[in-house]
Amino acid sequence: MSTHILGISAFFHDSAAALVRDGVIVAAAQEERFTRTKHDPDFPRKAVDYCLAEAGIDASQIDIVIFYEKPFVKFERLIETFRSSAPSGYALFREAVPVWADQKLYLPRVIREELGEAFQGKVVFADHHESHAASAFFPSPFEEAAILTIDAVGEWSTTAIGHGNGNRIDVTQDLRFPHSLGMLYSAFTYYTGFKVNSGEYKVMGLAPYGKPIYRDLILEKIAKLEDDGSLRLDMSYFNYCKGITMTSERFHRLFDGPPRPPESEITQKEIDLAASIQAVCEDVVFRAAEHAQRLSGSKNLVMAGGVALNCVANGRLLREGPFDEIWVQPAAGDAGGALGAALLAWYHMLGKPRDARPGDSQRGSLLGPEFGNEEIGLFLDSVGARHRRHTDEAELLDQVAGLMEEGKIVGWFQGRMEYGPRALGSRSIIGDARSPDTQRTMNLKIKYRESFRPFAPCVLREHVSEVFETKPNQDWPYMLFVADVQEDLRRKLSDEELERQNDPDLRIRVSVPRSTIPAITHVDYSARVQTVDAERHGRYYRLMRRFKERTGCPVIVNTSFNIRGEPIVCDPGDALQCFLATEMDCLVLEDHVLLKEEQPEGLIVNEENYRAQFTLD
Amino acid sequence: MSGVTLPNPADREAVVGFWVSITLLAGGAMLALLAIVGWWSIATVLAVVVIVAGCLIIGLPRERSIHRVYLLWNRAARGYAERARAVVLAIWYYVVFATMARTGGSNFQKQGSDWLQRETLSAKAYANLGGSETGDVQAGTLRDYRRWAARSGRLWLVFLIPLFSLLVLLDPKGARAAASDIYTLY
Repeated sequence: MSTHILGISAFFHDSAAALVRDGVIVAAAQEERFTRTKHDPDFPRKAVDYCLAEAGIDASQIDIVIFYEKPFVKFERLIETFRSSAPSGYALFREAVPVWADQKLYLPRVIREELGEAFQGKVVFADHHESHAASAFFPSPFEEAAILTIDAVGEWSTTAIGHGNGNRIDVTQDLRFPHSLGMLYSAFTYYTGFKVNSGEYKVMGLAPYGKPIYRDLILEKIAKLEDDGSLRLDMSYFNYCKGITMTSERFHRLFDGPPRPPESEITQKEIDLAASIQAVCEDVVFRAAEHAQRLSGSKNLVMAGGVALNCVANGRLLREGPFDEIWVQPAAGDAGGALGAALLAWYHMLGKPRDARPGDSQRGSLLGPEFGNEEIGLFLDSVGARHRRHTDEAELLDQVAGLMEEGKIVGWFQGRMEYGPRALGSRSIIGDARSPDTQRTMNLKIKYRESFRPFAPCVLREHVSEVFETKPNQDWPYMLFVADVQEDLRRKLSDEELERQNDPDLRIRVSVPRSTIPAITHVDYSARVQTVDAERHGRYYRLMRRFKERTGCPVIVNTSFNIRGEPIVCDPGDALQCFLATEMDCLVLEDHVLLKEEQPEGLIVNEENYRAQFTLD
Repeated sequence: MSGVTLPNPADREAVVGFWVSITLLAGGAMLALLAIVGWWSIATVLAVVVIVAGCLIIGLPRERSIHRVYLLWNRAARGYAERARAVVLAIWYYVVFATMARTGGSNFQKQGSDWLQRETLSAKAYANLGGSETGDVQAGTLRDYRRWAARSGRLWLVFLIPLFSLLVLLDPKGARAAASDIYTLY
């Protein structure tokens, strides 16, 4: 009889559920995709339902439910924090304690109530950073590897290192709250006017425009960094232990002013601060990884935790660091804790053996729901959408590749939804990377967001090293590493274009084409690369092949299928709404193709009403 | 039609139950008051009974009206609960935590930011909501918390249990989303 283990992360942010059957990952999904509430922290009711349905079981067949962290230890940290900061931390105390008194101290009961009486299995609890470590090591292709997990904070740990071997992970050292790289990065996210816990990747995207002129100041005054990667923060510059803001007045005085108000103009100061904190982040990650390497002696590294989503730091670590191979969990944030916890229960609690597979046991992170052609057709008919079903795939691919070649923007909805924050070709908006207009159109008319951020390229794996400075056939299916565009594809900028690089308006700077694939080339010629291969990506790979045959270009633009503030679309209804409310030209739902120009007037969704549903991130 | 428009039978039962309870409670309070001030007599008791019966007879068929009273009562109760929670939390924080802050060191002072050795959880420790100590199957009650505090040597945390109980009693069942600009502690 099979053993079913359900991993859950919840009650903080990014709730998720993951189901493992006999050690094999069957399903995993974030709750926000179903509820349409970004970073939904509630119990992942719908994600659990989906996981059970995907496995074809009900709650009575779950053997173990494992929660991704130890609530009492986390509560102890909270109480210690209040004790340390009293009497000036009342604002945070008033916010936090009722949540614990009402719910979080009684998690076994809460979980059982949510799963219903049918569930008679065990409810157990993992350690937060061990869950991250497990999510990084167990699905990786390595038999043994050093482990590095970095996030804001779990129970006490903020960074942890260890070693994985076979079916065992050993987390041997950690850095503890309040000294946290994740918190430090988030403090600068807050100070530069972006939203904590969702704007960090904007800071990373902003960094290449600036110079790290505050790096030394940060390392001198705010954060003491040791050679072994240990980090100590001067807490007088921060407010997160006692208030509901990240930074203190002292921090504001150090950087000559209050935080940038959200949505206001981004100045050179914010740009240089972004460059500076990114440089510090890379230094910390680099030194901590070296420390992990020294302790473990391994040439492989696995990473997880929110900071592991910093693909610029990951790219530098791979290029310049001591490891031959690095594997990063694509759901590196807390959502991935659900998967890690489930795998921990299988390997550590039950002591089951593990075979490291050269393939990808994360299965492209395509672990969410999928929808059949019949179901989609019925849905489209029911709402009166005009669509055409292609029974011949070659015909479909030819039409879509042709539209992209004409500069059209396509909503691409195929197969199982991605687990993790990135769209990897199942719920993606795609376009022609060669067109200088693609970036502007996608940003302003579809994503409705700041235009300084670059889009990520998808590249056929067999051509990756022709386009980017990587090894031949480099396997980067999760968009977690940055590499530079090859020299011979770069454009030499004219004097007038160089002059535009000093324009305070970042939209002017980003509009200068820097390569033959300008839509994905950042101002420093870098790109967040995702490789696409036949085994993992199926039809998406074949579409890119067809595009390559037509244009000679093995690269397309890929961005997540959503607008700003909206969770990535989950089902055909979400995708159709997003398509109808934006200026996307075409929507492909499995075999069904919809063209915007053919849709009846009454079906078009009002853009402003649609945007109003979502809080800006 | 007397205006029974409540869509949900559960709501309707709650409103009717509320009106019966509040009327009987008010009647009981009036009787107690009469006894206290010395106006207790058959006539005054009868008057109270008539008032209570009248309220029930007149009120119960007018569910729309008593629904308004019900909503007002709930709003007032929620407001009271929220204020009471704030008072309880403030007293607890400024008395207990501010005092504790002066009576000893904190983990921040004991622990540096340098790497600390740690151990991976044993297979038996997963049952526990707390740390690495092994434990029994957890029921999801404050008993788990008390046992964890005792086993892990953090006995002073037991003294927070009355606070939790008070907070649960004063739970206004409002939405408690985390503040938007922090993701720090809870």
